Amino acid sequence: MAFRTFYLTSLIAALSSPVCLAQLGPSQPQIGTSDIPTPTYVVEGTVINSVTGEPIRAALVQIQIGQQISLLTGPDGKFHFEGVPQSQLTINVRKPGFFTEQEILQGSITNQLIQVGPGMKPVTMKLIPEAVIYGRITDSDGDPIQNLQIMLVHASIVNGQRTWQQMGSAQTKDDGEFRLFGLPPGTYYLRTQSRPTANLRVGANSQTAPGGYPSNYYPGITDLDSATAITVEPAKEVQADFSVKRETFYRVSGGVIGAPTQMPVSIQILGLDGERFSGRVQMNPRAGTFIAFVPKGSYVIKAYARGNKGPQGVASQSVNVNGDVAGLSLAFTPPATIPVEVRFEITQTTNSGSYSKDMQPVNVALVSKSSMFANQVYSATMQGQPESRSFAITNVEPGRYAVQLMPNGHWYVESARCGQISLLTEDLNVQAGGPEHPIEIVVRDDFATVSGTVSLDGQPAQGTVLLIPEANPRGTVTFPTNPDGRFQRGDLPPGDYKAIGFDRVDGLEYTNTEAMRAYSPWEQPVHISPNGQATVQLELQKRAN
Amino acid sequence: MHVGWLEILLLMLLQQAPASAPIASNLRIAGTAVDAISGAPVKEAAVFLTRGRTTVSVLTQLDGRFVFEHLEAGKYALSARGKGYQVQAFNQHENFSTAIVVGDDQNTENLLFRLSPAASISGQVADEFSEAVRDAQVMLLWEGITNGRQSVETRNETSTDDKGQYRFTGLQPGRYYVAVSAQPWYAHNTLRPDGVSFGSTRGLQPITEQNANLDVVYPVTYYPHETEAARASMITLQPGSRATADLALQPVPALHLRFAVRGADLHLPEGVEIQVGQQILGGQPIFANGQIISRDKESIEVAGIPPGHLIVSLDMNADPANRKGTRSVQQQIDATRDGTVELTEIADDVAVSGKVEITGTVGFPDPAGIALRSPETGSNYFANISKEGKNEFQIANVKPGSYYVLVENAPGFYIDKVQAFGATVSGNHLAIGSGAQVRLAVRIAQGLGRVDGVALRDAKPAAGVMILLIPNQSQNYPFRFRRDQSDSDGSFTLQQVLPGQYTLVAIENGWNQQWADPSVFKQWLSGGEVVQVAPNGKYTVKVKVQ
Repeated sequence: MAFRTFYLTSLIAALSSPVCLAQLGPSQPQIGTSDIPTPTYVVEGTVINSVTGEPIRAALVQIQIGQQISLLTGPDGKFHFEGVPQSQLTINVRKPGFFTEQEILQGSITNQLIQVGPGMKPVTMKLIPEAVIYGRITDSDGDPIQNLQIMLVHASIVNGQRTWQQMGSAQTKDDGEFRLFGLPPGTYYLRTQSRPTANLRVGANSQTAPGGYPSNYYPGITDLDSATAITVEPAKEVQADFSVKRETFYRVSGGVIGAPTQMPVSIQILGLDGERFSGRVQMNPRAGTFIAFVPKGSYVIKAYARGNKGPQGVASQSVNVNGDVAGLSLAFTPPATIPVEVRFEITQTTNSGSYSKDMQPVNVALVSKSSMFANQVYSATMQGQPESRSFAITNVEPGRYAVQLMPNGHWYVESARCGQISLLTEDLNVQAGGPEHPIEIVVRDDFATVSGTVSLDGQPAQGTVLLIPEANPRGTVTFPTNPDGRFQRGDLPPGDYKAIGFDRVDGLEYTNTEAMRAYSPWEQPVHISPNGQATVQLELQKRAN
Repeated sequence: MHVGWLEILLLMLLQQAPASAPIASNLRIAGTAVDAISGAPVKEAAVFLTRGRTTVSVLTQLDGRFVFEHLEAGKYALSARGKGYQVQAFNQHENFSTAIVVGDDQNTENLLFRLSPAASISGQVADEFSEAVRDAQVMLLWEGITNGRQSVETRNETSTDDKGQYRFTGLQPGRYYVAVSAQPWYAHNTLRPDGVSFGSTRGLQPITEQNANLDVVYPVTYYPHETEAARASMITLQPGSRATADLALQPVPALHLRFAVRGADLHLPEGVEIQVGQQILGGQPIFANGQIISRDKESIEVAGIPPGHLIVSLDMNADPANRKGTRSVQQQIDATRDGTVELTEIADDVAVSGKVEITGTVGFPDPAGIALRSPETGSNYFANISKEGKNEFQIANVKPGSYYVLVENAPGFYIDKVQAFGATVSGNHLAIGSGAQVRLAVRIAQGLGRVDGVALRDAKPAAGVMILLIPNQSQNYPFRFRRDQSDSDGSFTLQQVLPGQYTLVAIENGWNQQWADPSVFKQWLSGGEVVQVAPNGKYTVKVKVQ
């Protein structure tokens, strides 16, 4: 099949130029001609493997001009589109087993757009090969463990913050082997699921204690902090064998007191990383009692009472399991409500400072820090009538939270406090019954502008600017410079900043002050006054790969 | 004896101590575990002995020997498991095995437990560029005797990894085929940004891809690269062998077909379910990942269809005028080019209702129900028998076809007689035509029988022989066959036997024969024993091995 070359004649009413006529090959018939020949061009190039540089055969290249045209590259990795009118074109390439550059490098300049016209050159498109983690899981006798669930945890930096995400799972096969493929380059952890098993080390007629395989992080650790990270690079296959020892599971039992009557209770057992224990938990929802068999370790047991209107209460208790534990007693507390108050300090005459009644001026969300995988988020909602403009976060469980704030209009958050604590830099600790103070937010609109140039050894250089507010590192802003190294950025909250110019910021944990200490020699302090302008000159820092 | 596999595994997990005999018994079971092919002893295999709810286990020694001592007299199930050996019962055939009878007059000293090593089939699926196809659906098909007839059935399914590799392990020896269903990853019918799920008529989008060379599909392909089932290569697996079966997929141009149903109204808000698929060897159809690209009142246009023999299945609401019930099309067609296909095999679904008459005085369990089962199409329907509703039952939307009527969730009860108005009945067999309503009168009785006995070869007890109870008029009562494997003392038990007339036979090598086929079993009848089973009847029969 002629995959390599495609002729766009069916799209364009006007016939291609005589030059293109001479190049016609077998494929498509031509549609009728017109008197005015429109100049058309050839879009061609090669798709290559970003690691080896070798051409990739049978990659799918797509361009969009109104409609979509796709081609598969030939054995030399080349593609060739004819009859393309002068335009700015999006060109995409993909193939199983590879990532596109856009998928891997978040927020960097992409070369997806091509200028089609006279003098255009052949294009090189890169695909980044996937990585694989594979291995074999055995028990302490060296026998393979079959059908064990393995979870993949991806550690990465997103928006300057370190996050952990669960990224899929696999099951071991009959020989204990697993294979996790399709991985983007990065840092990973492996975690096996706990599973009760019988002891089939047969002795004569022995009644064995309940037990099973505890949950383990590679290479055999129970908590994430001490686990070994597996770093994979494109095209690499990393082997990660490990062994899990069967352990006794201990009986943990207890009950809940103070639950609202008539409300069924559900009970969860969470490990230190916030993950739910996946083994056997027997519950009596009416009586609020539970029995579970868990491996030794530290857990938090949570009980929820859920009514028709949502959660009506929660009880939680930490427990260290080293043997059977009986008689746990979890006391229910009603969930907390945290009022949110917003004060406006609007100075611009053009800004009326008004917002529609049913909208919050600032979106407030609490992100739970007790689970590694940040699943639980509470958002503030409107309370009562819209006219009252009263907002609160309801049904908040006790715990530690990071506060996320997003203005809903042309203003910025100048401060957010809960009593003495600045929520811009610290987490919020919610006790049973709720915090003593409401969350008080002050918003302003006296935005300022920063401009300047990034240069390298005296020459202007294109890069990315990092602006870190001293009072609020989580509010760090990044933006690319123009090709000539110049930049200008408005809508900035005034205050003191540190500015640095980098070639790229992906993978940089810029919200973490400790992590940024290495770059302090190159930080330029910038002070921006309210409604003011500031200029700064930055030296481009190239980050080591 | 018949082994319930779930029970064996659960018992292995529970592993309680057996009740010890009141006086120290000198009865024991001893033997050696060996590899069924090489004869070499198998060490460190776990051997399990089960009786009732109790299981005991030991590991075999270096010479393969195992011993269970101080046993009570009785019948024990013996099974074993080891490295490279799937869990298996002693002298296992299908899910039957020879149980070991322990007693003063029995010799249970030198059992030879032949362990059949597990076999495997693995391979790679590659495309026309000789590159790996990932996430291809690979099916393992097994050919052998199922329910007494030769058939091919799907035994297992898996998908390929990033290297296109698949593996099926723990297989018993036998005859297998491997089939693959996959889509070319670059095919334009999967390239559209807003994918339309097959079967749904919401969100119809015209296909915008211009390169017709990418409008291709992979038809279902059998090892090694055949798209016609008749040419599939069979893989004969010996015990312990590791076979390799690589498959090569070739794309073919996809078809665009317009399916027309005259007089129908396919413009319904809830949409129309259409599926177009290929039949695979011995399995349910594999539905193609096609797309609906247009629809009007009387037709649906579908793209991305593989050419060849197709099964079209379309469900729609019945006659809009009365809006009752559903109507469906199930039609097989051969298509090699784009075009319009008239669907004419339209059937109106049938409402089946009935009343159950229960003879006997013992209470009828709740919720028991009536089932309609079609072995050929695999469709099953079930309805509860409503006690408040005076033992009535209703099954709506039954597709016309041929079914067996059965009673379910009522152990000990059986269907004595079925009468039908609006359908044809013979025995338990019901033939339902299109449209209409069917009214059944079902008489259920209680009292299943039991047949015990001994198989004799030259007047001596014969172990490991296939025992078969053949019902008269077996074509109308195919669910009445009963089987067992004779135990170490030649004894066997057939339970839950429906009252009726039977012939009992013992066939030495019956395991590989199509025992449900009258042309096969008729030669055995004269050497068997006639048994007339009355409700709740218990019988003991001696039967000669043929």
